Amino acid sequence: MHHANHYYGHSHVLARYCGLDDRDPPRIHGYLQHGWNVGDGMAADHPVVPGTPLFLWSERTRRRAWSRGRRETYVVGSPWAYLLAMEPAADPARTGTIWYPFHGWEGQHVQGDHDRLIAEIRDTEPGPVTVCLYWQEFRSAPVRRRYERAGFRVICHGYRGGRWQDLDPLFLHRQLAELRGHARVASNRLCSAVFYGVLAGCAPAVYGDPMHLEREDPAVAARIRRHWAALHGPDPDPGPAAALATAELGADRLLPPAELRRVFGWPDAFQPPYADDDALLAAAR
Amino acid sequence: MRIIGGEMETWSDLAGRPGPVRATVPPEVLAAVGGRTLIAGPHHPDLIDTVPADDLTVLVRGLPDAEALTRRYAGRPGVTVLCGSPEKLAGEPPFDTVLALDGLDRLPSVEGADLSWSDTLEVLRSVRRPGALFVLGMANPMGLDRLVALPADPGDAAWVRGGDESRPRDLGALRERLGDVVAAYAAYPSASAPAVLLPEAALTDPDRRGTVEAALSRACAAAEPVLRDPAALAVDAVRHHLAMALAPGWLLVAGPPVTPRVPDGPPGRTLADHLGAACARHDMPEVRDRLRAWRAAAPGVPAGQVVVGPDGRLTPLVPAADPVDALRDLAATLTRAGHLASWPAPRDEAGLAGLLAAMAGEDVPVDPDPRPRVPVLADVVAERDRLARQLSEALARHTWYEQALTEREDLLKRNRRLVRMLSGTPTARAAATFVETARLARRALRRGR
Repeated sequence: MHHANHYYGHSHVLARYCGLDDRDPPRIHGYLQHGWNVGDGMAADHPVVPGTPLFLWSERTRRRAWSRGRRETYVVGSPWAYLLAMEPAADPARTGTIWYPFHGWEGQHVQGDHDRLIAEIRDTEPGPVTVCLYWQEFRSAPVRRRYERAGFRVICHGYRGGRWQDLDPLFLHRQLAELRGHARVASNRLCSAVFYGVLAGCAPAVYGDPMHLEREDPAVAARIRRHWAALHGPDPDPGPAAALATAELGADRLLPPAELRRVFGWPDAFQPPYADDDALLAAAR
Repeated sequence: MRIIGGEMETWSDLAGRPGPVRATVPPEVLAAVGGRTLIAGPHHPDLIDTVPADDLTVLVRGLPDAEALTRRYAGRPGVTVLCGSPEKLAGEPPFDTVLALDGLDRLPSVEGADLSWSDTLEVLRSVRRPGALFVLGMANPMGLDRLVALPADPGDAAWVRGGDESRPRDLGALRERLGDVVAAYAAYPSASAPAVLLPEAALTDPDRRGTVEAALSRACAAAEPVLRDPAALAVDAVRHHLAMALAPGWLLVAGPPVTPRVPDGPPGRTLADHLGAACARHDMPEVRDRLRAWRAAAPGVPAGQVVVGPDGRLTPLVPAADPVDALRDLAATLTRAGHLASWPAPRDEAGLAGLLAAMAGEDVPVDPDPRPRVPVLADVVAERDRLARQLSEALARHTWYEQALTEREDLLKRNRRLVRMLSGTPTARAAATFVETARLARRALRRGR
């Protein structure tokens, strides 16, 4: 329904889980939560069409959404949890830390002191550090170079996707490969990536200057630190962290493929089979 | 046949509606029957047949009924049919057993004394030998059948003496009036034709809860249009320990000790009960587990007829039938309980039935239920509200789709024009050349400024 359903290749992962052709996932009849958040699971700027369900990651989010007036919600778990269910770990050799500096999304700007953050990372992390930047920051040579000069490996998982175009089906796969190569996952703000890392077997850490977005309400960040205190600090206990990540990503309540197909309205009865490039060109001639 | 006086010449309680009381008397009660026995009031011959008495007297008020019973029992020795008004029993030798399963309302005759409920009870007491077995039925004016009944004009046959303040208002008062009550049974789904008679203690026995709920939901399936589904209400009544208070009828046994037999069945609650509770908690993982277990063990048995034992084992109480119907029935139960909104995709019971199978990992196509269904007013209102909501939501989505369609069609048209302009056709080449020339000209102009 909404283009955000296709962000990060989420719909691609779920189509594969459902046994459908994941090269062109069908429309999801509802709004799929696309990132961990402390609201009703949806991005604040997405208008919701009445009668269209919200597919949420966790029971906690569902209950919170209910308290905020959302009735048509259903917990399906996160695409990340489905990806991990389909891609069992091959006991990889893990080294160092993958660090996700807090970022804004399209149109948002982060204000904060990158140099101070770099110093804190250096002081805290015991091993080599990979810094993963959001695509906007990765494209900004000054920001990228600042982290590179600090001796960090700088990467980007890619572009999350636009309005039904420039989709990246392999976004999460790249992120999974990186996370499984690291022993720790860290950020200056609790975010999806930290939960992803924990579920993928990394020890979590949330510390350093949290920075802030322009016009951001500081109460939200404070609430996150208070409610999810067990994940904060340079070295939180991995046990409770794993339980939290399992719950927040809904890894404990994945749907059977048949059920997921039903609630999504999959497959799309009107969708023709996917034509690969050769077939498309041949048909055009 | 003996006419004792006060007989009604043309009246029949046996013919037409509601007809005589028909019930299967619990075996432990029949075992206590003995000696000189009186059956007072309109009882169905099938019921009379089960009464093991060698010296049996049957009292009815209508002459046609007395004649019919006389014909029926012409071949059975020891049966006497009396026709007339109950106060005329006064001269009869006392009875060792008195059965009045129909209650006391259809005993007094229009030709006899104008007896109140209390007067009639006294008449029967007077012919009952002290300590003799006395089985009395009584319809509950606040019984579940009356709570769910649609308003209807009473027919002639339903005529009883009204405004009777002597009638006990509840089970406690009735028990007190009889004095030596040894057992009480709840009659469902109606006082006049109970399909089940459940002993009072069984209704609140936590071990029997599943068995009792299953029995009541079988017995109470709606047979005619009603306000609410009586089966669902009966099941709720059991859960809230109100099954005795809301029973459509009561059967009280007074006299010699009788030990009511608790219905056979495995201990535990029904699968439908567990599923409803899990839905109410929104514990979908548990719903999935239970559905999987059900589909694996007893897919054709309705979830309300499966008992989940303490070890989690499922015991079906009825033979398996169509598994799709079982899914539909569960969907209807959950919908009635207000759980349809717990799921996003199904917009009706058939959709929910299919989704329930999907939750167990199965793809089962479910068409709308072809079985005829008795109209239930509460369901009709709920469905009307749901359809109204769905329509407004569908219109909102329709608008959204139109907007999305226009946006994407526009994009498609632009892209097609671009492709045409940039591809190799002469027209396209000319267009491209034109575009390029114009662009160069504009640039030259800007530079020149």
